[in-house]
Amino acid sequence: MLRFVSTPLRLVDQTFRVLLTTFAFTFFYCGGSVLSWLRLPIGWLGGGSRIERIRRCQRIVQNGFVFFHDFMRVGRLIGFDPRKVGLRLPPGPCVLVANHPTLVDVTAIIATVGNLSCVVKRILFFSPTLGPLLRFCWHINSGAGDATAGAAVMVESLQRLRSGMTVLIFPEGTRSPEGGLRAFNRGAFEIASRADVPVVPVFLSCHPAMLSKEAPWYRAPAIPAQYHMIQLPTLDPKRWNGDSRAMAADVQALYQLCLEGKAPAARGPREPKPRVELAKAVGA
Amino acid sequence: MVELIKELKELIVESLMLEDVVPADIVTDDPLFGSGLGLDSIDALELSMAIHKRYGVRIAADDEKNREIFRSVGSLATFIAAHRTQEGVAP
Repeated sequence: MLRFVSTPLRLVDQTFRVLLTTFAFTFFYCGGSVLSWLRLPIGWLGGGSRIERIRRCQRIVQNGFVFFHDFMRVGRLIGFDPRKVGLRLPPGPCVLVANHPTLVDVTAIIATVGNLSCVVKRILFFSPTLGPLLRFCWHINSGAGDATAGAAVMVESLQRLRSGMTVLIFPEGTRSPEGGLRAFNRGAFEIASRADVPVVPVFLSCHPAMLSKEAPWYRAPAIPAQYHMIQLPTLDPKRWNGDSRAMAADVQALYQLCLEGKAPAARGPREPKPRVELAKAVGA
Repeated sequence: MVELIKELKELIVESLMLEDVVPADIVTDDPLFGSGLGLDSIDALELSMAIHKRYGVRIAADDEKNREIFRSVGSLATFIAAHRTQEGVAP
């Protein structure tokens, strides 16, 4: 549509989207503060066991993130509707892994899945706007982010899984480079293996790239971005006999295929045949 | 101390099942993580469990000093020597 309109009009459109992005993030942090200091404390006081309180807070935040993505979709910033993804998670707890192309991957996944705990970088736990929110929803502090912090993340993740929660980990440890992947760490796979729960890989993509590590948040692409969340076949760590290093390498190879457009499932989440082919590709 | 350092190097190779490394390859003061031996966080976890089993020294998961303790084989040996409760026994 916009491809056919004149350049000045497109510039107006682009400028408008930059302003709207600014508004969206202001809105996000204001909303985060309201949740952190008002809505979640009220939700917490609603009674029930500790886990029930956490789940209630997670639902409140999920609704908030659904609204955030609705806003960005209607504002033509990022076309993504969490209601239409249709992830099918295993019945029990699982470890969700994903690549990390944008700043809004966590909000997109939480808006879709809800009852999950994510490994979040330490500095955010001390943020006045988001810190309390992260604590109320029982997210996992990544610690210093170096090798010696791994043990604490492992202990906390296992605790979440035992409580029946899904744990979300980005094996790259931070946002992916544009159009690519960083080396996968094996922590997520080791955790799944020790907890004996399945790994659910989710492939995320955003075209044209925006809110990536390279692109500053205020740079809007020429056309509104489309965001896709695609569930890949669920993997049982037992197939790798507890070798999390090998599993991490195989899952990384699977994501590489998705990025290159070679993985057939990357075209649509509900085609049965490609899922079987993908399962073969990773030896599952 | 020399004996302990030698034991530790053996323990690292054994407990982490390093395939292309022999104990003598490990330089006492080289970093264990990243640029040096290239261990990762799961290796750190397994190594601390192996150390606990062998020397009775418990290294807390969330100890801020871990980074310093796990810097190299040398620093690990100093820590164990100061805190050990049992003689190194072969597992």
